Amino acid sequence: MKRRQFLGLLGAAGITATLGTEAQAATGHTFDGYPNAKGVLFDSTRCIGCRKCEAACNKVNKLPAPAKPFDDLKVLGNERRTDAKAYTVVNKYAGKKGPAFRKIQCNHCMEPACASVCFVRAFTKNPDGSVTYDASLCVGCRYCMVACPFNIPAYEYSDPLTPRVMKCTMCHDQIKKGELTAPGCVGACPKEALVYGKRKDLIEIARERIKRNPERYQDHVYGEKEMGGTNWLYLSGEEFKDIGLREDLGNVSVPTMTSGPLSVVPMVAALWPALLGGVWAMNKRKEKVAADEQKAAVRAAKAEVKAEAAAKLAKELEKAEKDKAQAIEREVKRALEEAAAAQKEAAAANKDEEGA
Amino acid sequence: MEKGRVLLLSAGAMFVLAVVSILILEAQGVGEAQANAAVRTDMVTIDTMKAYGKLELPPVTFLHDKHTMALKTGEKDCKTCHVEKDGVIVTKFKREKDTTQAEVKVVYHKNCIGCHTDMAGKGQKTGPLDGACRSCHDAKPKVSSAKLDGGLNNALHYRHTSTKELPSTLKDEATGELRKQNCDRCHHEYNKDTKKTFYAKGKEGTCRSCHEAKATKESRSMSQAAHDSCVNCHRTLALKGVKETGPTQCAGCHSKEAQAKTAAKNKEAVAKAGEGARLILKAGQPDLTLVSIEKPAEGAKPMAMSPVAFNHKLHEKNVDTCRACHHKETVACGKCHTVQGVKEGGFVQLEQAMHRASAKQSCVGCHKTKVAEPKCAGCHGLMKERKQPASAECKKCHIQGALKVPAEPGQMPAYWAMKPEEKAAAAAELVKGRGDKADIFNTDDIPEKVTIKSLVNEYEASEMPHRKIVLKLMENVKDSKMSGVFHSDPGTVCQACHHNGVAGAKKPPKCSNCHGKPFDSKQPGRPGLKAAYHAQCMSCHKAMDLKKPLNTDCVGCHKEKKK
Repeated sequence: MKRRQFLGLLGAAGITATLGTEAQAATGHTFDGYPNAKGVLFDSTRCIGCRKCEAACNKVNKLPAPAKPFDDLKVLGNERRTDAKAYTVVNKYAGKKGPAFRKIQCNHCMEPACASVCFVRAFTKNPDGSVTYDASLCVGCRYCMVACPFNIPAYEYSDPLTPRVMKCTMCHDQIKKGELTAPGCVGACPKEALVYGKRKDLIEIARERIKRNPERYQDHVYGEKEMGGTNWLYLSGEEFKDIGLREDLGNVSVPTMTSGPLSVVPMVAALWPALLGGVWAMNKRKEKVAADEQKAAVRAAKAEVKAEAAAKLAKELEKAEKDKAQAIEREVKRALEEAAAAQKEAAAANKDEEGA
Repeated sequence: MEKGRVLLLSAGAMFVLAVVSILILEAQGVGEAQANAAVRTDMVTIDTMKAYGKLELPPVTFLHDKHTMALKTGEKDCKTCHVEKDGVIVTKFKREKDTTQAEVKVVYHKNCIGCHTDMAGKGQKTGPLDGACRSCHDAKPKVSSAKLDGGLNNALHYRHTSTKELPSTLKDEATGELRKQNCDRCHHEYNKDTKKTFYAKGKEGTCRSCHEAKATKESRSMSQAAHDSCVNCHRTLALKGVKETGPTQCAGCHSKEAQAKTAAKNKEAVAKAGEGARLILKAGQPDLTLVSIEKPAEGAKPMAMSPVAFNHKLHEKNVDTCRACHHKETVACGKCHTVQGVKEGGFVQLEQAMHRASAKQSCVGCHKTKVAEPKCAGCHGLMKERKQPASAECKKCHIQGALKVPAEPGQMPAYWAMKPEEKAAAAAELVKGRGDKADIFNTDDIPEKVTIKSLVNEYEASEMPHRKIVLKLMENVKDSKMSGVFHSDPGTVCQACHHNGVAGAKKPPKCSNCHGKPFDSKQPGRPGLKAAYHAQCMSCHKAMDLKKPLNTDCVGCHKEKKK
């Protein structure tokens, strides 16, 4: 294959691959959630910080007893995170309108980052909206913990043999089995600060509450769009960043964000050998051509030198021949002269003898 | 060569890093300075020189009260810094008028630094001296202003008109004695020809009808006029030896503490004046009137609501200033806010001018701010979340009643053609039949205790002191005539908790009739029974600022069930 041909092919392959991913994005590749997925709406303006939800969560999930009892409300002041022993925590924030409370747990993203990074598919986004985890598949890489934008999954570091990733399941199993009709925390809330229902309906409810009481609420339903949308939604009277909810996450889910770059991976895998092979072949050919050219040059040089030497030799030979001929001639001449002289002397002597 | 490039690159990176970190440090420093800034009510920014062009140096931040206090120690007075002209202190510093830039600059520099230098010479503590330019011309002053708007409300106006220390300066033409009303002490008209102010009886208006936020050709700015007149008068009185005068220092009018003190005194004075007293002496405004539409255009056949009987006198007493309802001029609403709306009224229609809930000057808007007070907010906060007031509420203001007002055939009665006294008489007639005292059912008919037991599981039943709550709410509404009118039907107060009940019915429906299991998809906005109880009690307690029991104190309302 010629170099130009190869480069052309490579370029064509690259363009086809890129066009392919763009076309994919344009066809609405994003996942808009299961149609009847359930969710929970948390209304911070209704929350009084009683920790009944924490207690109920602990009970229905059979988690170990906490260090401090659930009726100790002093713990609310410290910003706590979910851990292996608590799927949900309520924190207290000093809001501009007075103290504000916020419950946090797994937000059950519509397109969960934890599931997208898990290479053994230990996480499942269920049609009921919940995101659940299968410990039997988990290899313990904890990529899910790194990927979660809300810092939710926790790890049983204390368990040396069979540590699991621990997080809220939206009581998926309990509801499936019929033990509960709504997640444990929701059922325990004395003020319906938590509402369980279809995500679609919850957004309607949230919008209605904002519309009826515009001065009470921030005009935003947190989780409607954040990170591609979550099944746990939040209403607040304070700015969301003031109740510990990140406002810098954007509206794109992690899988959507990474699908672009990741879609290039197979392309790289397919094209890399061809590219490298081509480069190798090109180098190889270049080397060969160079070697051939060198050889030819050497040969030519050699021939020239040889010819020159031959010419020189011929010349020398000719010269030597000439010299030789001249020498012979000279010798012959001298010999002839000597012979002539000898003949003269002999003739003279003869004369003398005759004369004598 | 390679080494040299690496060195250069790393040096460049270090430089960028250094610059960034210095900038960050700088930014943090600014934040700290602001946080530590002293908050003052007497901060005056002297940027007089702006009038002459761009400032050469930053404006001067001047603390007025600090200087006034310093005068006392040195036996100096206002005239140390201000010129007195015709017995009146000129608010400008050491001059009557702004002349040229050079002169004004000299006035400031010579007198400020001069006084500081004198004091320093005597060994007294003083301000910046010559050469310390940036001590005064500081672009980033360390103090920040907490100056509140000062002002004269109706009660304070009453204190000014009722005091003996401010007698009228004019004589009554009939008796030859000093007039009883002292309006001439402050109110004036302006004669454009003689360029002087004079008093014109009966033409008293609000200050702002002439003195606007910014000075015009003919009138000083509101701020300038207030400082010229109020402070000077207070000072003159003080010099005369009058014990209680108005403030002469910045903080006296512009600080939060002083305003609270004045408010307390105002309240005392109003209470002393008695029920029937009028805070604003009559300047053409009615006591009682009918508010109706103005005469409609020829050929138009408006269908207007019944006129509203309006007690102007009572409203004067219950609002802060005339501006609570009026704009800068005190004219009748209907003059500019016509049925269709005209340019003079900003195209705000009469109906909107009276009812727009988001406008502070409308009837509904102002009443809405009243019910936001804690003693009312418990019930009204809950109501707000529900629905608009029932149509029966309209009749509280638009009292329907047969008035003998002539009407052309096919037209509505010509209320607009009535004389003021006719209107007053008609309004009095209408108001007569309207209840204006909050009413409730007989105490015996109000259940004393209500036991909430339908949800008993973790906790015992809750015993709610129902009668005590009702009587407390009635106590809260009894003093105000406004709440009297709106709560005159027995059972009105009950409606806050027993919403969706029939007004006036003694037996309200049970909560559980409507509130059942939570998360009913057919009624997504309706809370379940448990949440309904908790939300009702807690949001009312919160709105009324009740500290006990805490929302999280479960046993405060229901005892824990023994296992």
